[in-house]
Amino acid sequence: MTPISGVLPEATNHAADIDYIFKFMAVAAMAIFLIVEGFLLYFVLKYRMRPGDDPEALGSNIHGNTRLELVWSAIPALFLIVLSGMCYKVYFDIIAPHADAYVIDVTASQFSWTCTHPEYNVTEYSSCHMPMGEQITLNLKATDVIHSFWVPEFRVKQDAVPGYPTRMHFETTRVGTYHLICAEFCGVGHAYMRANVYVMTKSDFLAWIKQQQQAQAAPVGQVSFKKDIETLFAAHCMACHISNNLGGLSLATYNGLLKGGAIVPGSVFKAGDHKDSVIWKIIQPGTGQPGGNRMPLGGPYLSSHDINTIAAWIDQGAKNN
Amino acid sequence: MATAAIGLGVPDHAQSRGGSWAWVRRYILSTDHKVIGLNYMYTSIFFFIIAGLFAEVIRMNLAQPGSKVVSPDVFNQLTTIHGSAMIFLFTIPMLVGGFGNFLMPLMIGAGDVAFPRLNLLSYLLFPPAGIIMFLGFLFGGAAQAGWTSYPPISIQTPPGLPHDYGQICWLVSVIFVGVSSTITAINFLVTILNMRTRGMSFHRLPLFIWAMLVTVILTLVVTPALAGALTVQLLSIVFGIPFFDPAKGGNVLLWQHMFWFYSHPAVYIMILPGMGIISEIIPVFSRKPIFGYKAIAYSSAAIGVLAFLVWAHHMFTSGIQPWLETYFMFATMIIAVPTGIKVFSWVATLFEGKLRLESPLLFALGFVSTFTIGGITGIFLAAVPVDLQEHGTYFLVAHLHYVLFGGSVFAIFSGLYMWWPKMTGRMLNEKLSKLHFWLMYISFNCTFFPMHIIGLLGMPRRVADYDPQFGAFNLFISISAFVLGASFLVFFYNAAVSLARGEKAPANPWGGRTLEWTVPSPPGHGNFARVPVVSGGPYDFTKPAAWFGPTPTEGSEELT
Repeated sequence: MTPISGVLPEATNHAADIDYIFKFMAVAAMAIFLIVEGFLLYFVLKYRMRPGDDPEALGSNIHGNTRLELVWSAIPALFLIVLSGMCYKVYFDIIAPHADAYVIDVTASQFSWTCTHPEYNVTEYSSCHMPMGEQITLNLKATDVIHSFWVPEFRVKQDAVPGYPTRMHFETTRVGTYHLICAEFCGVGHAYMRANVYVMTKSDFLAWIKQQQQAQAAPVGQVSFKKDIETLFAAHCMACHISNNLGGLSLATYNGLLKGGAIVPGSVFKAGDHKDSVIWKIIQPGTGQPGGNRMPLGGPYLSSHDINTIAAWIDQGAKNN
Repeated sequence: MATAAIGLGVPDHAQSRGGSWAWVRRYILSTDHKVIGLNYMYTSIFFFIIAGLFAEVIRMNLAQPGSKVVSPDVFNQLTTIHGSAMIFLFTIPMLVGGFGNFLMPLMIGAGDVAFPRLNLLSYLLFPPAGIIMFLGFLFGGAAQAGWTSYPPISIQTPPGLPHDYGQICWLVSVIFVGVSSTITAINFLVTILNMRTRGMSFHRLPLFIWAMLVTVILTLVVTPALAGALTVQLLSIVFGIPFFDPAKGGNVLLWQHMFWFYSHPAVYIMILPGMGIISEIIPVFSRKPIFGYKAIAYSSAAIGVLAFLVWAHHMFTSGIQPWLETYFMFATMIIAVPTGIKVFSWVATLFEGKLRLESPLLFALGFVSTFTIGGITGIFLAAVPVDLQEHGTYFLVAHLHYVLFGGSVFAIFSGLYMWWPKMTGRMLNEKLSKLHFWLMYISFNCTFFPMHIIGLLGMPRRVADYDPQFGAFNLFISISAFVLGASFLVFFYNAAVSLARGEKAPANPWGGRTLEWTVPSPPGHGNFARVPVVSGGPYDFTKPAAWFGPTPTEGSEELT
């Protein structure tokens, strides 16, 4: 039970409190472990029958010691009361909301995270930027199944439950890039439902916000397969198309796009011509899509910005860039 | 006629009719608790092997990051069925249906259980229930939402199928197993309360019986709650009734409360009989009484009561109200106290003993050492602020395997080695038994201890793939897991040789003082030629073994 703060940085105000309790418990656990296992091993070695001992020999008739039994019941009980008290205090600190916190709305769906900054009307997919040194409130929402927002460096976790909004409160205390991991089983893409969390200084954060606002307003420029298209696929398509079980199509690799599916065979795009590309036609509203169903099957559907991004990528040559 | 190595000393009346189907009447349709108990054991071990093989495939997939030994949906089916089969088709039936059936009537001096035909019904529900769980693989995929089966993921229809047949199979299967368990619980409760032999007061009961008593009361109360939850989920899948659909007025967390109300007591159902087994083995192999008989007995009862009151510690991150979280945290911490009392009592029993380090004791001590670690990590998980980091990660996977494998499985093997002579009439090879122990003990710790570390560092559970930084740990874990699987081959070889040509077992090879050792190995139909009369406790080694024979004796020193 090694303390983990040496290996995993503490990136919120709660992390230090939690690591403290962990260390306290780790010391107690070591003590209990050494006492119990120590006596077990000692007695085994000391009282074992050795060759040459009388095989009919009995052990002593000791079958109780009221004082000892009271002591070894009372000491753990006392320790647990103290531990509960410590945890109670830290728990209420963790869940306490702050009136002036910076709010981010987090939506979890199979299999990606979407973060919206309502104050600036900026939405980001599969990433989450936060300002450092501020109280943050995350409003968690799930659209389909239960997910769980977990950043190990933050030391806190909260389920996102459909129909039941939940919240997290913490103060960011360390600039860096951290890992957002889904910690509640949510289906075939559970292991891949990850994102980066970027904690930036306030000025860097505001600069990023400004850049996003400009990009979201601007027309689509140069599109990168790895940066833009794969992110879109991860967010909207990989629930089903992560291997080729469904429609025979895997969108996990560039080759998967070239191969196409079983229901609609052949490459999903025609380089240079988005209007004649399966992947563009299949995400259009209305009817008449290749294969007969609009994708993603059952929604939520791609925004026009995302559809335009895919169209632009195809027109720019649909390269593996 | 020649009795099979695992047959009974005296043929029961069902066999006397002869004919080519006599073996069915004798070995499958017998109402003798010993035959039923052994049948539970064979069926449980069969499912243990399959669930264990699934675990090996899981570990093959996880040996390296990015490996795709199986696709993610198959991986999820494997993890779901591994957990579900180990719990519902191995641990509970083996301990309650297997050991409970075989030993309980013998230990209380009864000829059989109170309702032998009902006992047979309980058993006959079990193999079909197990098969139904696996049928899902033939119908588009077995259940794949984890053994906890949380909606909405568990009730999402897999793309391409009109219904989630695998999930329906899982629900039906667990309902059947639950019915079987509930019937057994009633049967055992009536038996223990009403059929104890003369002189066997509650304070002269073997501790295994105390454990079984609490276990069956728990089973009786909470299994119907599980049946309710499963039925509700089944109705929501088959008829679309929106119990768990918030858009139509349902509530997602409803399932979690209903499910854990059963499943938390279920973990005590899975450990208490095992603890009972350990309490029987340590005194016999230390040649002295158990330390703290009353403390162990009453702490089992305390655990039974507290078991009902702690279920939402599985839900600390689910968004329940803060006052509930603090209550469940306190209650969960309290339950550590009676558990600790037992561990200290077992270790204290060794003090000034004359320890025979034979395989039953080795497995029992293995149990104490690994269950202690599992209990300690349970306290880490009970502490809500720390649970926020550990829930849903490999830390939890480590904890659950330390208590369920390090606990229940080690206890099961401890019991198998202890009562093998009584059940089969043969001895096992002690050298092979010890080899099995050491291989299993060392590889078990190598497999599951590292999981604590990767869980804390960021590896969630139920994942088919993981961040490459955990590659080295996972490879080490997977290799250890293969050794762990291989260790069971030693047991099966030992068992096969024993059944085929093992040394014939005497009535009391270990010098025990409980009533099952006073009858032949294996016992005849009806168990006791004469009603045994008990005038002392079950751990008094100062009296010679013959004193505990079928004839009544004087002297009534009561062991406190």
